[in-house]
Amino acid sequence: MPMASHRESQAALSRLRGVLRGQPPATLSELNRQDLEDLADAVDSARRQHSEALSAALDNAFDQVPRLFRSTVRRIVTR
Amino acid sequence: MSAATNDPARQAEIVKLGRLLGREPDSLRYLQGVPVGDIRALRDLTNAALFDDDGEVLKRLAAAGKLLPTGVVAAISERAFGPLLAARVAGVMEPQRAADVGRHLEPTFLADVCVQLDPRAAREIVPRMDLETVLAVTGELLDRADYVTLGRFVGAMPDNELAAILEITEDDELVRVCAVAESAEGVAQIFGMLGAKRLASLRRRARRKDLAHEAEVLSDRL
Repeated sequence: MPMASHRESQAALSRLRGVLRGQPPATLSELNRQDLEDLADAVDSARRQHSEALSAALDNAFDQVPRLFRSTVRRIVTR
Repeated sequence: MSAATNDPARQAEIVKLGRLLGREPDSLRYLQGVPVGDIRALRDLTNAALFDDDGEVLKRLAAAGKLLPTGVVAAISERAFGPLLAARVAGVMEPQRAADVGRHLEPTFLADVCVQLDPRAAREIVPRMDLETVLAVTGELLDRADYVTLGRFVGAMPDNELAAILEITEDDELVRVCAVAESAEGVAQIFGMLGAKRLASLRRRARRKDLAHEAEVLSDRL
């Protein structure tokens, strides 16, 4: 592998390690730069989408709770 | 790295990772050369990266849910949470409570939840669910040909539930599920419960060309 290409792959692997917050399996280092970047993008995007979905679901859930319990439930969840 | 593109276990792992990432399996085809255990390790890391930060919020949601009747919790799960979040909340609920909520959910929604449910939580929840619900969800997943999800539940069933499930499962479906099952003990449990006649039928079916890869995975059983 040419030096520049190796460096780019290492950078992509390092980014993947960052979004995963852990060491990916060693065999993934054999993937090319584009594939490693695609994996890192996929994890990063899924994490953002999940966080947004959780936030929206919480707002929506409070509206579904019977009025009698709503303030107590909100207090427990958002304390 | 070997490029075994037709290995059902590897393909199943790519499907599961794709579901976690909201990606079609085809878009992750560059993982076809990665050993199956490493794809599973990548999925575990991804799972932790996506959900560990929300653990505290999910526990509080489960705690708040204790104040409400199970039917109301089920309605909130369907209308507000959606299957992914419902699966995450179920994973931190007391297993009996999660099973009681499950009884109030539509089988189609519950099947969607099962797609996302952590198998470790499933092992605690499924034995506490009533048989009627388990069969309805199994039937729904079989209708969808979602053998990957069914394979995640192999090993989570008590014998009485498993016996009923085996009755509604066709031979080819059973071979496909066992070929992608995550639990070797669960596969042993299934084969241990099959009578001689069913086993012979399964072996005949597995010899057909369309199940060649699955039969190879299960060669020590078939």
